[in-house]
Amino acid sequence: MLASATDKELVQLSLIEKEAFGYIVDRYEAKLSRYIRRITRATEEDVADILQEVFIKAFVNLRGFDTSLPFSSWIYRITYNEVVSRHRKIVRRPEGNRQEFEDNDLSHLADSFSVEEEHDQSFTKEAISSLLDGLDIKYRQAIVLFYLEEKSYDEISDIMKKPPGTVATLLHRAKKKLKKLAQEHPALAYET
Amino acid sequence: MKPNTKDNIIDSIKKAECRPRWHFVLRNGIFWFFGVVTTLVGGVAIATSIFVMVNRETLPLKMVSGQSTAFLAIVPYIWIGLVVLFVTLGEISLRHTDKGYKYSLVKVLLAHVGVSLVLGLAFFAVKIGYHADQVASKTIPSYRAVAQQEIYNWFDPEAGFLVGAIIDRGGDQEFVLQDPEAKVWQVVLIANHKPSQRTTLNVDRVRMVGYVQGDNVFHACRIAPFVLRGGPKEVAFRHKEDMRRLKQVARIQTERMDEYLRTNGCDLAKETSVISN
Repeated sequence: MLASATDKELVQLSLIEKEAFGYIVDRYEAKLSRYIRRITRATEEDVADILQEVFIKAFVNLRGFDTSLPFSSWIYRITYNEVVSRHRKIVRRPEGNRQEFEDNDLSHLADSFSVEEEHDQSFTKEAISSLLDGLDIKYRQAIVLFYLEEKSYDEISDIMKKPPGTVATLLHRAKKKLKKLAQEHPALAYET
Repeated sequence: MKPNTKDNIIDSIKKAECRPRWHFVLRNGIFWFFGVVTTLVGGVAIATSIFVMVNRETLPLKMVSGQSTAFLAIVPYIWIGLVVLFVTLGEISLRHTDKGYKYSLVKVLLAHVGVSLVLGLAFFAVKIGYHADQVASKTIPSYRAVAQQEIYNWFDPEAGFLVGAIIDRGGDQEFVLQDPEAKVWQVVLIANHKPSQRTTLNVDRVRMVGYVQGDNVFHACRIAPFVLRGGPKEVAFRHKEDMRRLKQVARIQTERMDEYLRTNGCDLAKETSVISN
């Protein structure tokens, strides 16, 4: 029964019965884990640490959750803040994982940035991954949330705590930077 | 996620406690409180800036520093700095409230500046600018209130500036005045005073431009009421100990003053001959 409850209902239940929070963990662990990998070069250990911290912070601050927002925006915000606070430490580690792209991700990004389709897909995945690595975290965050997590401007605004207009500007700049990086990248032919 | 990670999370949550609701309400309330307080203080700083600017006369400053730079001396830099500081602090506070991030910085800033300006004008109208200026002069050693500063600037009879209280209205062209050091002057109105200038004699405090004739006679070319807009009707002369002549007043350029007097129909030689006739 709890598996079909809405996020907000689970939040209310978790305040009464801590075990109910387990359903929230089940519901978001995969999404957040993938999101963390997409926006940062984190090792498995880092991802586990970040996730643990995110869920504990979410639980401790559960009464501060603004019910006028989607719960997903709120927990993505906590995750983003946690990633940013650990970002410097993580980027210094060259042994960190590149984010793993699925075919679906690639087609989203390829459509958005006109990457030629005839490239070998696994090679292009690596190239796109490397392009995203070249972006500042705030730009990468905007690109990942919009194109890969498929969040709306309003949701991204709530996650990044920036006005929707600023989100649009961030995305525009991120795309410009990404296109520029793509033009300079030897493995990618970019159509202007 | 590895199974033991989820277990760790659940274990940690079992030991953790949710923060109470009031913690978040208080946090949001504190940001709102600081946002409102800093906006109000910004309004007071704007009111005081207006008070300073509308009450500082540039004429004595023009005689010291020249026409083009005199306005720089009346700009209330400290108060304008405080306006910028408090508007910025208010902006930061309001942006940290629950929904503060949803609005664009420029729009919120413009709205904030607009509200602060309206508050500033309202505070100026109810004399809060004057009171802030007075409080600052009493609490900050190097700060001189507008009234004090104007008395300084306008109290240098030898240089051509005299300020004081009318103690006997006398005839149509002359009156008796007591300066801030309690010296009594016989003031003679010369040149072609406009009716509006004569009506200034209805007020008790006046400031004049002219020149000294003899020991205690002052020939006034230009006379204006000494009232503080956005302040009390009468300027209090209670700072006798502060009446020491300022260096800058002592540096008044006599050629500038002579030119001013001539252009205002107060040629010293001509007036002397008129008086002697």
